[in-house]
Amino acid sequence: MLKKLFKYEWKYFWKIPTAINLFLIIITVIGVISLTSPFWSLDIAGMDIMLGLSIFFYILAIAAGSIAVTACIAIRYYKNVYTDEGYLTNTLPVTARQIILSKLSIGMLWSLITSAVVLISVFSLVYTAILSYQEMDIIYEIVQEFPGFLKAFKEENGISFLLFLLIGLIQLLLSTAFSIIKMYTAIALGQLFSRHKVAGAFLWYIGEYVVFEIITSFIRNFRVPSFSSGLFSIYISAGFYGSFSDFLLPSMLSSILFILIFGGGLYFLTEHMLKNRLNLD
Amino acid sequence: MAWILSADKPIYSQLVEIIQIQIISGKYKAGDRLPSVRELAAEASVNPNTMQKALAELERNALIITQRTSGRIVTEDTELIQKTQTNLASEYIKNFFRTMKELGYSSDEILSLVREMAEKEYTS
Amino acid sequence: MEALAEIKGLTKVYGNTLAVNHLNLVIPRGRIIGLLGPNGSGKTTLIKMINGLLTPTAGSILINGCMPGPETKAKIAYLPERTYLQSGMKVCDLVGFFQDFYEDFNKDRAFSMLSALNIPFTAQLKTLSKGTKEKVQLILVMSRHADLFILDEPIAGVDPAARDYILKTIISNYNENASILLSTHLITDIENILDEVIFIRDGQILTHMPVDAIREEYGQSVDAYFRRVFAC
Repeated sequence: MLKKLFKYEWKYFWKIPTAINLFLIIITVIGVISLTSPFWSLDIAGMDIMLGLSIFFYILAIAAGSIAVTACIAIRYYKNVYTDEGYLTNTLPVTARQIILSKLSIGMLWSLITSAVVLISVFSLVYTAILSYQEMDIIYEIVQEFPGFLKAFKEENGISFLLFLLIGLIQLLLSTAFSIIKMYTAIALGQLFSRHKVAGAFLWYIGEYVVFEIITSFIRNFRVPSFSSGLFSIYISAGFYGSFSDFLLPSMLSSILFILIFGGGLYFLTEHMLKNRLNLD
Repeated sequence: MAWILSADKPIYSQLVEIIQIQIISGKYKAGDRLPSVRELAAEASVNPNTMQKALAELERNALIITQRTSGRIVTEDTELIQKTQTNLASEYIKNFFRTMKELGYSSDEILSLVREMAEKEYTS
Repeated sequence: MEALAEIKGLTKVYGNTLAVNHLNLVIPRGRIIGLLGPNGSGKTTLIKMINGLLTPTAGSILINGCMPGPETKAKIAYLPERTYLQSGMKVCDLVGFFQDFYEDFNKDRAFSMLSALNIPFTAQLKTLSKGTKEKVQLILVMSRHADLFILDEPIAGVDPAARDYILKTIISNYNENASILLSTHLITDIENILDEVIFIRDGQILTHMPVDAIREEYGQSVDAYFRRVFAC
């Protein structure tokens, strides 16, 4: 049954996320083409402002795209489970867990695809810009420096870069799932309101956000960086705490632990609400 | 005879009557096999259990016989069919007389009215 | 044989309203049962609780001895009073969907009913009229070989010709282990196909008796009797 749910979730939830990602790719291609064109080298008044505006709108579009995909994932869940469509979804001979897991995994897939598109987009623009204007090939540089970097990384941090990537990947998957589960839980709890259930879901979401921020900042006092924002922030914040080697592994593992505990808690709350507290209008 | 059912009488007794008429009028002849309960129920747009009840009633009157091999058939006893026809006829006539008497006619008046009507129909 | 469904002390409270009030009901096998009552009497609330779409405030529901859950959903074919289809789907996709999820679904029966009602297989649902969508949903539900069919207002929105076809479909789908619970306020149209009727008011069962018993006892149709009982 889970397999069939995956199949249909994939089949009926791809159009809008695909469109958004295509939009991001098109923007990137336009950016790359314009960067390689001689246009930006022209000596026209106001060029700086134009460049600034272009970058601003690019960042805006990328942010809007990512948020739109996230919103789509939440809307899909809400519509398919808690509105008229829920009359079919919730009378299929499947468990609440199967329903949530099928939607969660397809949601994660789209979330990851979008993140990858955004990363590739930013990288290709930066790469093109550096290549065109600094005449430096950073891919070449990275490949050249890589063996040395691996060695240095291991010496400095006490773990191999591969292990670091692996743990980072697990953390990425978990934090993606966590961010989606947070929305599902808010939607489920929004159903407790007798009216304005969508507004209720927003309230719960804000509530969750505040609570997790408080918990995170509380734990941060114990020298652990922000949990939900992933690998990159740990790497950066490590700098602020000095000694990276004592810090990296415990902080990543505790971040994973944090998501497992709180994400797991939210998941079971969501499942409980769907299984034992369903009240469709 | 179409499956027209009135609202105030039990459905099954109306079904019994309609099937009797279908047999008398020769839609189902002596020895013919009847359609299944489900087919008859669908044809009449009635509940299969109700149709079943009606057929059971007809079986009790021996107008219909259940055979192990070929399902339900109409009785081959033509005398019984004739008798059913007479019974139905006398029932209708009784009802007719009752209604006419409610309108204030005597038996003789009713008879002469009927004769008059019959002749008119015959000549036209 | 054990009853198909057993409902005991079922209660549903919305805020200050008592939608279903300590309701007891046994649904036997092999019956076509009409669930009749004025608007707001609790028909739909009862039906949604049997299907697990609403959580009862109190009381119990057992279908084939199981509480509402995946096991009972596999045995109940439910037609809600609203459209639950995703508009991006095609008619034939939906048939595939039902085939995938319900083991008791008969694809050939669905396609033959769709052609009988001239519904194009490849049409997108959003291009179909409301009445046609209702027909599609009903066909999907009636193409199952379920134990309990629960049809909430199945004939309200369709034309008389389709209504006749649908009633005939219900009759010919009938089998002695299955029961059909049919909620409606259009009693006259369906009266002849019912075994028994349940009158429900203020979330409680007022009457539960065979149709012919009502006709014999009161000398009037269920429709007339209903109007008398619920006269304002």
